Amino acid sequence: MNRFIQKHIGKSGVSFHVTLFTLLFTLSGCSDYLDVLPLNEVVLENYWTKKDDVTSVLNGCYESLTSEGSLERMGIWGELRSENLVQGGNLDNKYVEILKENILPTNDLTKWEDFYRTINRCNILLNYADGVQKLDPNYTEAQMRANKAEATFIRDLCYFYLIRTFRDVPMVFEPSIDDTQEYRVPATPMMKALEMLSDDLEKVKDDAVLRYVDDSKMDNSTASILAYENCAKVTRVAIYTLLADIYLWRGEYDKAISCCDYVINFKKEQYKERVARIGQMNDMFLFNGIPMIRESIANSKTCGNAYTEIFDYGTGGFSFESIFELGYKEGSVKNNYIYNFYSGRNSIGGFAAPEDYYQNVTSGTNDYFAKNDCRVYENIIEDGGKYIIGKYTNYSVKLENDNVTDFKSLKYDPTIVMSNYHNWIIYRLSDVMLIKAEACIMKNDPDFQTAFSLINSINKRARNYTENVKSDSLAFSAYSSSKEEMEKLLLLERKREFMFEGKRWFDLVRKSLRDGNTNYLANEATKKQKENAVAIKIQFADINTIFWPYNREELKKNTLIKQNSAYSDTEDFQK
Amino acid sequence: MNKLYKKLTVLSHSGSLPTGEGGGRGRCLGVLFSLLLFSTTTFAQQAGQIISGTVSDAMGPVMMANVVEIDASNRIVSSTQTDINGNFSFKIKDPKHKLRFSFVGCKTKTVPIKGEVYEIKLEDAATLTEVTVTSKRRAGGSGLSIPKDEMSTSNQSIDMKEFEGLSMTTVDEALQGRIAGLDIVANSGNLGSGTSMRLRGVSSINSNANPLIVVDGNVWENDLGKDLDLSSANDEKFAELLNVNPEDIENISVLKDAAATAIWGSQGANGVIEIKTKRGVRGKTRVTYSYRITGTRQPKGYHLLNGDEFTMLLKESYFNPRLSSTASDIVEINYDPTNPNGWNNFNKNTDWIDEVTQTGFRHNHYVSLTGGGEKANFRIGAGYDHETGSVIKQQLDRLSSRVALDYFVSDRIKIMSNLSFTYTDNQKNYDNLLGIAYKYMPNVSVYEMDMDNNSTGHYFMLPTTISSALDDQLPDNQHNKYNRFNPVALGNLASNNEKTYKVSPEFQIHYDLLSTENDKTRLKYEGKIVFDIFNQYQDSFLPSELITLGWSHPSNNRKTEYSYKSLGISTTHTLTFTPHFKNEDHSMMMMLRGQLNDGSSKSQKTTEFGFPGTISNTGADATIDEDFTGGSGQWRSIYGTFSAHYAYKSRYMFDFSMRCDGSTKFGPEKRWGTFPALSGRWNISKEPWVANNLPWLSMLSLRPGWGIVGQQPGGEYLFYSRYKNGSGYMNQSSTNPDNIQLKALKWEQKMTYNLGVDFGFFEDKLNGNVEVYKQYTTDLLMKDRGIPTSSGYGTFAWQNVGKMENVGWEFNINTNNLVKFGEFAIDFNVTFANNKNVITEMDETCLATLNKDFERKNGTYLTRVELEKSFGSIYGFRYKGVYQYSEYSPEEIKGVSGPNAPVVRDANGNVILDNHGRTTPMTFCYSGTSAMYEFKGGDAMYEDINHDGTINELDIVYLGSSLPKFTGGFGIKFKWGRWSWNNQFNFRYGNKIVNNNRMNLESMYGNGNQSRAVNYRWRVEGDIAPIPRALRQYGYNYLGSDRFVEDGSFIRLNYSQISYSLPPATIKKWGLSQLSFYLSANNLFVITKYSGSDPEVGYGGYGISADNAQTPRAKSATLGITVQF
Repeated sequence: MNRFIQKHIGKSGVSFHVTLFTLLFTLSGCSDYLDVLPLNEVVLENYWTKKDDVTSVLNGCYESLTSEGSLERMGIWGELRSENLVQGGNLDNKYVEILKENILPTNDLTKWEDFYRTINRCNILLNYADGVQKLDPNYTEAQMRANKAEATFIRDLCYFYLIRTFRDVPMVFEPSIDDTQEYRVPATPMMKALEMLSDDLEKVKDDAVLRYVDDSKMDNSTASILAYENCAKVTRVAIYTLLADIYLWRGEYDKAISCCDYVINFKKEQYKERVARIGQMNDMFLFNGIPMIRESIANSKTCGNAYTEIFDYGTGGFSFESIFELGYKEGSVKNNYIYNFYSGRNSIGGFAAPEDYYQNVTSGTNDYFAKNDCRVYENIIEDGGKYIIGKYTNYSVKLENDNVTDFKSLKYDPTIVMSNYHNWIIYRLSDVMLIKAEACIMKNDPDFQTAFSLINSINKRARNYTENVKSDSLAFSAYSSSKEEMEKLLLLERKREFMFEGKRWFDLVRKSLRDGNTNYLANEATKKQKENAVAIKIQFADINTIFWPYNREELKKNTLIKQNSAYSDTEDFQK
Repeated sequence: MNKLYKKLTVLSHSGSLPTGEGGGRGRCLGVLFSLLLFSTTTFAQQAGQIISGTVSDAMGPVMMANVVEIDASNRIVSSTQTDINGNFSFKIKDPKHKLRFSFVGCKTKTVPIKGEVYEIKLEDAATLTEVTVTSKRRAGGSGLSIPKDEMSTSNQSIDMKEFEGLSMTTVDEALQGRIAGLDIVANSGNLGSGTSMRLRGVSSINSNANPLIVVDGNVWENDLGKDLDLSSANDEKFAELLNVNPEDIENISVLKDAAATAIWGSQGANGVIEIKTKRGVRGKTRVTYSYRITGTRQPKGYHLLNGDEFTMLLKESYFNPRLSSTASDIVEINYDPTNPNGWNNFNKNTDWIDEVTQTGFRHNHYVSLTGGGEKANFRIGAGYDHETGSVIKQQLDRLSSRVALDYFVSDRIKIMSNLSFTYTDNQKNYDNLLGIAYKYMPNVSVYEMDMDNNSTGHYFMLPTTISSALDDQLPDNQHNKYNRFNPVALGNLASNNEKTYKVSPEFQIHYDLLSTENDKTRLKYEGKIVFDIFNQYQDSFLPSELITLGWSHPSNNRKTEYSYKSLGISTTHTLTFTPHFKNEDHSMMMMLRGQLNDGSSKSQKTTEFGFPGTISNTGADATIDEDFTGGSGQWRSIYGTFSAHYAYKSRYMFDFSMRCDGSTKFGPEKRWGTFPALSGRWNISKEPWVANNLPWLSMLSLRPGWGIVGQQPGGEYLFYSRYKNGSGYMNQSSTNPDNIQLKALKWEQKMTYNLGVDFGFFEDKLNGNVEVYKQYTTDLLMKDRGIPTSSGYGTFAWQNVGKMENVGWEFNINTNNLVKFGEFAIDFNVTFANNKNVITEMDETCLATLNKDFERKNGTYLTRVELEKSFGSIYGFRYKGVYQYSEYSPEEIKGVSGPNAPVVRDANGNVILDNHGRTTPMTFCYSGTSAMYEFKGGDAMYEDINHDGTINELDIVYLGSSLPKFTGGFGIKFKWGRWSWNNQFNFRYGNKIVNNNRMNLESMYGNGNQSRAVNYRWRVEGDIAPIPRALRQYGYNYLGSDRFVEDGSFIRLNYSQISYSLPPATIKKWGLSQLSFYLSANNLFVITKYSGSDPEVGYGGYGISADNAQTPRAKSATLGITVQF
């Protein structure tokens, strides 16, 4: 019996029972007895002592960013309201309502908890990392600063998503630890918040690691295997990119340009290193001086290589052009956004592409894509009148774009893969180039040459203008007449390039904010509407509508935030 | 030597004298000296001195009088008896002992040993001038043992004799309607599923609301089920009372007010049910055996459609949404002989309810052995119950035994031990078979049929090749949808077995430190240690015979094994001090108690599937391990209690108690809770002016009381910030902060004011009490309190959020041979209770988060918690019938259009026309640009409360409350000689129930079976129908509305029992001392307006009762016999 008890209760239990009598009525002595620690978890008091504790929580920040709720919102907030997405297969009502521009504060997709969870994890790390560095001699200050830079980037990226979606959001930079803190925080105005973010990033931008894997010294195959480490995690380049994007939103165009230049120069350097190491590469080309992946490998007519290298699930993405992308590994967190909505399943996903993006493209009369633009065939798969989203879904695409007369001439050959583990790209080189181009245009540079060159290099790549076709794919004269024309071209190129990557709606929002009206947005976003287009256009006349409503539950819990006025009338029935 | 001894004896006597009897120093000295003696003198001559004498009484010398030598603790050391002349002589063991003389009919006399010859004259006991019998009924609980008429707290107790002969598995079944203010509702009719109990209503938001169950002063603490979501899975909860065989119970008392429960501190916030088990009694050894056999049967619920009616309905429900005959072209309901899945499998009229129900039997055997002598009492009881359910394949076996031993070491020291052991083997169904049977398609055959419509003997499982329209009837890829299996096959082939073992050994020592006599100041020490060893094993198996989904499907040969073991130890030390006052008008008692609890548990769960073979050789390696989890828990608590009772002339009583609780659930600053209570009693009937003038008033007393009890949150480690392993990023492990630490969390406190009046008339022939109370709950604990998600978390695990008030009254009347004519007597009992609760204070944001938004979905009701309103309010639409026509016309055009059509009307009921004279269609949730649905003819009509032309959130109104206005019960008992007939009823009045079961059976929304009521559905334009048209996965015909909110009032004849015991004279010849027969019927009838099979529906979240087709309570009949030797 005694052994049995010993086994179950342990020493302290029985001896305590035995000595109870003496302690019985002096209860103050018993308080320690009531400290029962969890058996399966670590508590704060015992955590934050060594380097691994920091890196492990840092991985938790990335993990939180890849969670289903977080990724789904990155995609949906960034694109679902734009003209790029229409309903595909069966969809839950909450998505249909958004497609119909009937967004209610009760809609589940207005919940931002996943982003703040990530933010809080970053805040916690930023709060405790210094202490660990003092305790653990193996944890150098440089490592600590690099880790903090990573966490800062992740946090600020989350805020950037939130701000672009909701405009004014609560900015929390303190960790949430206990229930004595005040968790009701008012929303910070958008421009102020963006300034906070850029200030925050400026402080850490040079602390971050430039390369986790020094690929300059490796042969090409090893470097590409390990390359993921340099874009699956936050690098200095990623921070500069995010800064550039934030400056663009803030209208600080010079700063945006200088950040972009940093990134572009880094990529040029990296390219030079590679060439010096292994010679001219078959799959790369300098488009107007910027190294980019070719659609067709040298001496081949078959296009699709750029898609495969950048988006392909099979080799794991993480291409040369990648700056920061979320990695999904088999057996871990799943990427159900692609799987459910873009069709990782055998049939059409929840979302589809509008038909006018694809129709008549091979005859050259499509409004958006030239007939030799590889991206349209990579982005969209036509299947009996349905337009399945091909981006990320395609395992690989093979086509010949050099002499397109009809669909057959493409020798089109896509392979779809069913997987829950596609990567999700946040920033890639094209983005940096187009941010710079946009900043240049907005600066009202009388000569739009720099901007045009950047835009055109992307367009040229997509249309496979390399050795064979050295000329420009776009005619400068057609756009250089005015800032407006250049801006239109830029937005169109962004739309073509980043279609289904969760960016289009934010582009429309940015333009509307800049213009102070929603004319362009209302026109563009309602193109997909079959019914009620007029009513929706009228609705868009209120610029507040371009931001999402706060979730009703959040308003209930945080009385310090006020509902976006475009949605506040639906709050009335509360009483 | 002899001289020396005598000298020493004198010394030792004189030494012990100043400290008085039982004085520690004296005894020590005595022991010391006797030790000295025994060690220095090897022969016992001195001790062996022979004394002699004569015993006589008033009549002269007494023969056979007992003469015993007793030591200081009244232990008998040696004894003899007087001879025919009353003479005796024997050797004494120790001269400092005393001699005691006793004889039948005489007063016992004790004298110290002085001298060698004794002349003892015994006095006749009968010649005493005055005899006062002061034995009083005392409280049987674990607090102070206070005489019943001095108790100032609110409690009610019931002797288990009242339930003798009834067949029941757990005692709560019998308590229904017997305790005023205790509302007991059976969770379900499944075997061993337990009940949910609410004492004096609900006083917390979502902490545990069941009263504390105390067995012989012990609380069973464990963390079983911490992983389960208890609000949704009632049946999963282990019925704690299953561990106590009702036959072992002597009486039950229910402590209601805080003054009574304060000694249970934080555990007693919901009231306390104290169970006292039987112990041995001095006397001849008696053997009792009882046997009961019970037959049980399910009450008939809704009548469901047969296969033919069902297929017709299904065709309509597929056709109606889009008027598409392609949609309704489903081969399984076409009676199509070319159906590749065998049309004979789809053309049946199967009554699935009938297939899964049966007559269940219960056998209760119980044997007990009891007896005792001067030194020891014992009671050994053992019971074996075997029960088969009224739903197929349910079986419960229980073996319980309880051994109680009391050993009287001396007058001062008593050692008590209890050993109870319970084993239950509950073979449950894999899933709720009755629930499945309600839904399963009735045109499907139980057994697979061949081409000639002969059964192949195999159960028919829906094949995966079934029409895609019906594929939601197939088990899907999530292997938790067992409601899609053939219920008969699932019942027969799958297994789900729960075994539990509970062993609790208990040891007690009672020591009277000062005096053992009532007229002296007493101090008593009680020490107790209880071990609680509990093991639970749950194994379930789903064999591949049930699976049509292929070998690698996770449902194939799926086996889940769960084991849980816990060990709790608790030690209790109690000191009871009873000072004796010279003036006997004063009496007082005090108790100081400390308890320490410590326990730990371990659990383990494995899930595997894809076994080759069957359950018989599951030892074979599973191909796939799906899940392997283990858990462990630990809990500790400390408390100290002080309570005091003072009485003056048994007229004025005051009680005070104070409890100090330490809990592991709070941080160091908030760890200790103090819970005081004060109460008093004035026995008015004992005042001379009442007693003299109103002799018929045997009892009238007033009992005011006040007290505070606390409640702690569920779950441990709340005040730590915990870090958990995450799923990692890019193959690197991650750790995530998991929660917000709760530094500010404190005890929920419930303060109760109680006023009770006890009354008794005509020597308590009619007695009872009335209680009025008001409870103020402050710092209400709320689980998962929502916080702004900008904190990174959705909730605090717990927070103190507000205040709540409960007001109520209850009364209780019992009679005692009230009506008596010769051998005929009638008695009755009545209880009545009413409780109302109101939330008086709550943070606005907290209220707002409790109130979820309307989800715009069929089948859901809004729950709202509002200030100054009670819990359990149901909100929904008002159902107004069915639209007769799709098209509107002021006058009816038969079959085409009519006034009863879905068009918008103004507040006066006039149709609103637009500029072109057109009507506006009635819509569902119109917002800005579009509506979610436009109503058509045959659709459900909801009242457009605000006349805005659309049915939306704004048309939701209050529909009633789930809290009953009254609960209670009454019983009437007839006695005639040795016959008695006992009837007990219980009732609830004025509560509303959301009948989800009926909703699902009338929704016509899916492929499941429906109730026969849907035969009255709307079918074509112009139909006047009470039930809307069939629309599969379309429309809004079963929004949460008053259509499915029903009055849950009922009166149930809980049991009716006839018993007869044979006259002692007759059975004595057969060597028996008791022979009784019982015949009883349980749940014989229910008078109710409720349309479901059982209006007894438990409380769900926020006090809403929703009938989700739990297995209803069975009707049963019992035949029983009790024999005593």
